[in-house]
Amino acid sequence: MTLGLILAIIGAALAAILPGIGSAYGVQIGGQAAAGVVSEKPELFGKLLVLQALPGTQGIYGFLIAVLVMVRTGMLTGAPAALSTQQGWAFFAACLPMAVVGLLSAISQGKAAVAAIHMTAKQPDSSAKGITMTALVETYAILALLVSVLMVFIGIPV
Amino acid sequence: MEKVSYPFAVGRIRALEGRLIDAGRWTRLREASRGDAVRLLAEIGYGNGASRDDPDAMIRAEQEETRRVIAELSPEPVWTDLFLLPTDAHNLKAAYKGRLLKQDVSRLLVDGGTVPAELMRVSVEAGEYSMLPAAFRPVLENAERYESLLAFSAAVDRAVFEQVRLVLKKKKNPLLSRYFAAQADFTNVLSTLRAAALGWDSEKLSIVLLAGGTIPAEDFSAALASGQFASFLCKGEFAAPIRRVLEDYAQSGSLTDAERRFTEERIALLKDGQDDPFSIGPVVCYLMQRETEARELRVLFARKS
Repeated sequence: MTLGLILAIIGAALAAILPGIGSAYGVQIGGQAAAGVVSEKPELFGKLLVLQALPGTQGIYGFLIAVLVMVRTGMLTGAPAALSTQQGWAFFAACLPMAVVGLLSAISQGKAAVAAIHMTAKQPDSSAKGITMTALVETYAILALLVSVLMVFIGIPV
Repeated sequence: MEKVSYPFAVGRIRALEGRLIDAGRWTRLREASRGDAVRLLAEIGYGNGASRDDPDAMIRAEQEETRRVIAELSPEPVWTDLFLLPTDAHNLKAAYKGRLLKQDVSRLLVDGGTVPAELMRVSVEAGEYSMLPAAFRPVLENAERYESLLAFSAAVDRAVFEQVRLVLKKKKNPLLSRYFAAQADFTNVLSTLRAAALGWDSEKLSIVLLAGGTIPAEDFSAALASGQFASFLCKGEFAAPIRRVLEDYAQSGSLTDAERRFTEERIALLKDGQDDPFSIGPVVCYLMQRETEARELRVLFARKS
């Protein structure tokens, strides 16, 4: 196994781990806020579930990038490519946008979701507005996902 | 016990805020007869199941339920307990009067303090104070030294602020430090107005003044002696709200209105922290709104009697 392949594996691992942590935190605080509201207003469960779930997408994006790196480096076939050190660093760098932005945007989206859940508790009819406001944070996670996907698929010759 | 998280507590508070009496309902309550007002309250679920014939019992039950809920959901009871200390102080004063007069004061006690009301009564009657908040113990141990019930009552009020000071010294909270400093200032200004209305001298006023405010202590006696309240009392960190209330007081001369205005100004200070879902602000703000609601309902029903 080459140093390049090890660097690519570390990159893929970070892409899966960091957004996963962020999403777990975001969904956790969203769940706590939703549980507080539902303990008094059980009828709002359906509306709040969507808001709680929104910060979970970054974890899925990070997982996607990790799988793409594994596909591109041949890890899934059982015969991984002998990547050079430069190629390894390139894969590592390609994973960073999703790893870093995924972590931070999931935490921020979790906080936005908490605020939206609290708003919905007071004004149940404004849940759609809350979902829209919370979803806007997603934009930056999607941009980071696109950058990582393009770099992994097109930017690095293997 | 697992600690309650802030998002959970504030989520529950946001749901409960829908039960606060809104402006429209206040208008209807003011316009209604006593019987209709009680019915209106019962219709919106106010009173926590208390008898619908007795608005005071409904208000009391609702207050006790609110305090119970706050104690149950508070992420940091150390902060919310500070707002329940006045209930302890009320129970302590009632229990002490009961001991002096050898009367059963159980019906005067209210639940929802940091110490169960019955435990407070038994502790005071038995002279065993180890279960009570630390700041109350020296007051009770030296109770015989106070010349009057007023002096004892003032000492209990000072003990509340001493307990607040001890807690805020150990654990910083800028929002609550500011709130309690304002409360000390507002209470002292109100005491000065009351002292002037009752013809008290500076010595008697000094008994009821609280520490922890931002107005120098000597300004209260100077204000009382001169009758120039605005000149001497519009000082410190909360000069602007004090000036607003004193201007209204100069017009109306109503101590009840001044007390209500000071309460509004205090709640306005707490509202600075109301929108932070990861702080104690929304929890204590809700508690204070419910306490104010109960006080205003009592005034409303007293006027309808």
